[in-house]
Order: sequence, then C-alpha cells, then structure tokens
Amino acid sequence: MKTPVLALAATLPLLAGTPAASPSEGAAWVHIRVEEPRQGSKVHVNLPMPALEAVLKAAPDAVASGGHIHLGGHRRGHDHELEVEDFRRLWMELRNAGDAEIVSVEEGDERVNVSRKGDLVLVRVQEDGGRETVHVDLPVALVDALFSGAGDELNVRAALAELRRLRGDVVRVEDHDSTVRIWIDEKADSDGGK
Amino acid sequence: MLLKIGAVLASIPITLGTVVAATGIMVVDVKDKDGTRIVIPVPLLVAQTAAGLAPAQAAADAVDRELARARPYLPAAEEFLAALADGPDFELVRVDEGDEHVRIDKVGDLLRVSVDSPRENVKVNVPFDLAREVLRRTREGRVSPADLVAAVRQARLTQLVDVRDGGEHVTITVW
Repeated sequence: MKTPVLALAATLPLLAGTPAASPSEGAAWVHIRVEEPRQGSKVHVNLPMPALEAVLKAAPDAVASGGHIHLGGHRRGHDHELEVEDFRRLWMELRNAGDAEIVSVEEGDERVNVSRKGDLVLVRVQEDGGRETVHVDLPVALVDALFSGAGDELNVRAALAELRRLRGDVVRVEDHDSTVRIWIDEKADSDGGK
Repeated sequence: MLLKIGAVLASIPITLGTVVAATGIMVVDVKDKDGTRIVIPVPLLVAQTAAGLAPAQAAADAVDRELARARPYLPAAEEFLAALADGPDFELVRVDEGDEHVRIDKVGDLLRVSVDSPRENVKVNVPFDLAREVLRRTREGRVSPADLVAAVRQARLTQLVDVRDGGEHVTITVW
C-alpha cells in the first residue's frame, strides 16, 4: 500500500494552484477512489477543481518544499534526492525525442518503465511478477507546464491549467490487496464509468 | 397605577424573551432509552458570557499549542471551505468499511458528516459560515471558548448534532 500512497502524494501537487471558475460552472472534478477488497474498504473522494486550486493558492509552500522532490527511500531506508532543476533539464532533453523509452530499470523483482507515447508520458511500475502495478499516464503538455517554472520551482499553476483540460484516468495503482484510481471528469459523483 | 406596574412587570420577561430569541438559543434534547427526556435550552448570550468568564487559560494554552503546527494551513482550509460553499451540493467523501459508513456531503450551506454503524448513528451539520469563522478567529489569534460560542450564534436554525446510540437519542439545535 506504500506505492499507492506515494502515487497519490506525487499526484496531488499537480491537482491544484490557480483561481478559477465556480465548481457549478461545469468545471472539472477530481475523483479519488481507494478500494481494499480484503478489508471490505472503499474510500471515495470527489473534489471540485476550484477547491483544490484554492488550497494550493493559499498554501504554496506545500507544493514543492524548497523546490525539492523526494524520491523513493521508503523501502530501503535511504533517499534519492533530486533537484527540480535536474528533472527539468532531463525532461527538456527527452521531450523532443518522440516516442521512446525514457527510463527502464529492473532491480530484483521490480521493473520501472517511463516512456513517451504520443502525447502521453507513461509511467509503469511492476513488482513481484505483477503483484503491484503503478500505472500513471501524464500528458506531455502537463509535464511541460509543470517544468515551465524557474529555478527550483514547479509551475503548479500552469500544470493546473492543463489539468483543467484533462479528462480521464490520471493515476491507477493496483497491488495485491488494494487499488487506487484518480481521474478527472465533469461529474460530481464518483461512478466514473468504472 | 396598577396597570402601569403590571405593564412594566410584564415587559421584563417579554424583553428578556425577545433578547434571548434575538441572540439565539441552543437546545440540547436528550432522550434516554428508558423514556426519560431532558430538554435544556441554553441562551447563547448567557453561554457566551459564561464562557468569557470561565477560567479557561490552561485549556486555551493547550489548544494554542496543538494549533501551532496547523496554523500555517488554516488559510488554505478557509479557501477550501469557501470554494466548497460556492459549489453545488455533492458528496465529498464516502468511506465504507464493512458495516460502518462515513459520508461527508455538501448540502446547501452545510457540511454534513454522517457516521453510521450498527451500534450508533451520528450526524453532524457544520455550517460553512461557522467553520470559516472559527478558522478565521483561530488564524488571527487564540480562539477562546467565548469565541466558539459566538461563532455558534451564526448557526441559527440548524440542527448541529444528532446522535443515536442504542436507545439513546441526543440532538443539539441552535434556534
């Protein structure tokens, strides 16, 4: 369940940042669904985009503390800390490469694959023969917007402007006892057609 | 002369009643499983005055310490509530775990929290204005018991709490 939590944590900063229209004006709704069938547990959260925007507008420091993103380390007890600037430089070099495999890591029973396919950046993590799967689809425009800030800052506001246009699944995580799904549509309820 | 005295005497409870009605009454209604029913009307003006006089410094210090870490995030919480309040009615959170269910809905001017389990049912209605007022006061400084009671006065004509536990039923309503 740690990977789903990490996926959520990584995605939430993307889901906020600028003033916008009232949620009653057909604005986007962000839906988060976490299910743990073994525990008989289901959590549904529905958030109007303006509410998320309001939160990050009022708490900008929470978006990227000190301009740093903390990666991994939860499992093996050590952090790999990369500057936002490092990610930006890497992204700028890769974004024009067209469809390509950007990152592929195999370590023990874990496989991490980041690739570009059309207008999407696909992040896939598989563990222990498919026991845990992380499935993240990010539009290239969204990543572009996120890295359009200066220095060590992620441009969350620009990313949010892209998110407002985004519809469909953003994150899907499945492991042996839980599933997490985050998607965006224009409905207040969380059925999401799935 | 007697008529004047009678009029003056009669005006006292009428005036008091008018002041109490104008400033709000919190009614605590307790129904016990044995059929006993206790209704306690609490004039909010009196409660606010009493809360202001209460020696609550230690409690206020404890609350202030607890809020120290949360205080930077209070503006975000205020903005979040404001955005929710401006939106349509919707289900914000639903948690189902076995036979326990928690729901948080935005219904009109209220944030409605419902907790249902085989043993108890709890419904709490939090007016957005009340929540934002408490957050604002907390952000601007210490929030005292008197401040909380004053904020409750913004929740007129609202059933704040409805708890059913076994055969007991408790409601708290602000009139």
